[in-house]
Amino acid sequence: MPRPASGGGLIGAGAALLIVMGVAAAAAPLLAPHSPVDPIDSLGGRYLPPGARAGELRFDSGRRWLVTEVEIGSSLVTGKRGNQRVEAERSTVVNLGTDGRLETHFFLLGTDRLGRDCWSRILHAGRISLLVGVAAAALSALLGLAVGTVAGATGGWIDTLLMRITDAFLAFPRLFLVLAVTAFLDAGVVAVILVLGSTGWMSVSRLIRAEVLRLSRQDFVAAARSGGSGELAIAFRHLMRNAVTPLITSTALRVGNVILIEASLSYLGLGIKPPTATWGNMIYDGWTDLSTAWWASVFPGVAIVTTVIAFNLLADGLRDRRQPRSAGG
Amino acid sequence: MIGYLARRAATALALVFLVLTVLFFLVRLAPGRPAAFYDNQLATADEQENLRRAFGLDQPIPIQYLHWLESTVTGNWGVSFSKHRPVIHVLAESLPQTLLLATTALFLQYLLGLVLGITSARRLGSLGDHLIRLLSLIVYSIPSFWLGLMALLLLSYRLPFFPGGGMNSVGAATMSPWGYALDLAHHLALPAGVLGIAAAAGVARHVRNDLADVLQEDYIRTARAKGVSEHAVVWVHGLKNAAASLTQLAGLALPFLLSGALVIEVVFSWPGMGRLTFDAITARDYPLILGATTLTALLVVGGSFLADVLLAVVDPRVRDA
Repeated sequence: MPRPASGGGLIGAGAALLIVMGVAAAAAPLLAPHSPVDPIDSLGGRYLPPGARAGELRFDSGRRWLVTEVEIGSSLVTGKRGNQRVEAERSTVVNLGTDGRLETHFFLLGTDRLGRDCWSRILHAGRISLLVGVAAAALSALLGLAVGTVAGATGGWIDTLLMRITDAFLAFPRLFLVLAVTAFLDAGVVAVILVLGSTGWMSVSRLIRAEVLRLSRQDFVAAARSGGSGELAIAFRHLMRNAVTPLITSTALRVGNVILIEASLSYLGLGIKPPTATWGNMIYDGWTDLSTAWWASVFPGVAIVTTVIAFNLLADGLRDRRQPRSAGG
Repeated sequence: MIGYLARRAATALALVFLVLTVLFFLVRLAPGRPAAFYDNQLATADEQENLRRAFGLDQPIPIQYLHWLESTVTGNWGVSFSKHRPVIHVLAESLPQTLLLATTALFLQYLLGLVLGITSARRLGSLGDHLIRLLSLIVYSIPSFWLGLMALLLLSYRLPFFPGGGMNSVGAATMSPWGYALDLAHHLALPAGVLGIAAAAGVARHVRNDLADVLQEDYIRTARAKGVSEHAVVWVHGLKNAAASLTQLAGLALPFLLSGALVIEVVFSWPGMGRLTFDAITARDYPLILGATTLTALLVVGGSFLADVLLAVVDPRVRDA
C-alpha cells in the first residue's frame, strides 16, 4: 500500500526547536543573567552546583566575594568562600542594604572552574556554535554546488578529474583532514568556519552532480537544449531549481554534523580558543573535573545534542517528503 | 570478476596518488605552512637556512612534491620530533591498538544496527519502529566524545564497573595469557561499546530503509504468496538483497570509525593512533601529524577497496558488469 507523503511532523518539531534555539542565541545578552567571560569571584564561585545561591560581598576596595552560609553580625560578616571560612569587617562591605540583606546570585546550571555561570556561557556559546554550523554548511553547499554543477554539466575529462579529486578528499576521515589543517593555525571563529566549510563539500558535489545528470536526461532540458541554451546556462537555470530540495536537506544534516565536529575540535583543545565560550571548549574545560563537577561538562553536551537533533529532525522530515516509500507512518 | 577487481585496484592506486597530492598541497597551502614551523625565533638566520635546507624546504615546489611522493612510497616518513624515532615505527606500534578498537566497534556497530534496523523494517510505522527511529536519531546527534565522557562518569566514576581508561591494568605483564585477555577485554568494553553504539545508529537507519524498500519488491510478494515463512522472507530473501548496499556502507563506516576512534582514544587514554595524533598535535610534531594523516587516508582507501571486493562476492551483478 502506498503511504502518504509525510514528514510534516518532523519538520515542525525540528523547526520549532531551532526557532527556540535561534531566539535564545540571538537574545543571549538579554537572557544571560551573568557575564559569560568575567567571573564575579573565581575563588568563591568555583564549581558551585546547579541551583546554587551565593551572596555577593562588595568591598570598598572594589573586590567582590561570592560567599555561602553567610552570617551578618553587628561588626563582622562571616561566610564560606570556596572551601575557606572567611570573615570581613561589616563596615568595609558596601553592598549591604539598610535592612542588612545581602545581594544574592542564582546559578541555574552551576558554575565552572573559574566561577563563571554555566547557563550564561551556554547561551552565549550557542551563538558561536550556530554561526559556525550554519556558515560552514553554507560554504560547503556553495563549493559543492559549484563543483557538482560544473562536473555534471560539462562531463568528459573535467568531470572525471573533479570527481577523482572529490574521492581523494573523501578518503580522509573528516576529523583528520580538519586536524591536519588546524594543527598549524591559531583558530579563530573565521578560520574554523573556513576549515570546516572547505572540508565538507564533497558529498554535496556528488549529490548535485547526480541530480544534474538525472535531470539532464529529462524532456524539458532537451527542449531547452534544442532551443539553443548553453550547457552551463541550462544547468544553472533549469537544473538548480530542481536540485534545491535535496540541497536543503543535505545542508540541514551538514549543519548538525559541523556542530559535532566543531565540538570535537574544541574538545581536543584545537577549536575556538577561550575565553570565548563554545559548547565544545566548555566540555574541554570541565572534563578533567568530571567526577566532582559533572555539570560543567554535562550541560554543554545537552545543548549540543538538542541542537543537532533539531537539525536532523528537519533533514529527516524533508527526506521523508521526497522519499515517502521508506517514511513509515 | 578478475577484470572488475583489476579495475577497482587501479582506481584505488590512482586514489592513493591523488590523496598524497592533496595532502601535500593542503599542508603547503595552510597558513601556518611547514616552513613557518622551522622559522624558530631563537635560531639565527644561518641556522634557519640550514634547517630549511636539511628538510628540503629551499627547493622548488615541484621538486619537493616529487621528493614527498618518493619518500612516502619508500616508507621514509621522517623522524618524529617528540619521540625522536622514525615516524613509521611509532605509527606501526600504535596501529594494532586502533585496529583492535575499530574492528570491535565495527562488529558491535553491525550487530546492533542489523538487529534494530530489521526490527524496524518488519513493522514499519509501529510503535517499536518509531521508538527505534527516535533512539537512532538521538544517538546520531550525540558527539561521540561526550557519550564517552558520560559513560565514564556513570559506569566508571559513579558505579565502578569499568576501568577509567588505558588498555591494561598495572601488573598486566605478569598475568597469565587468559587473565591478560580478560583484563584487556575489560578495558576495551567501554571505548569499543561507545564507538560501536555511536556508529550503529547510521547502520540501523540504513538497514531499515533498504530492507523496507526490498520488502516491497515483487519477488518478496511472490515468496510470501508461496508460503515462505516471514522469518525466511526477511532473513533469506530480504537481507540477501539488501546486502550489497550494506557492504558499501561498511566501506564508508571506516572514516567514521577512525575519526571517532581519535576522540574516543583521547577520552579513554587508549594508546592507539588517535591518541598518538592528539599528542603529536599538542607537541606540534609535524612529521608525525603528517604521517598519521597519510596512514589513515591509506587505511580508508584500503578499506573501501576491501568493501569493493566483498561487494563483488555478495552481488553477482557487480562482478559481471
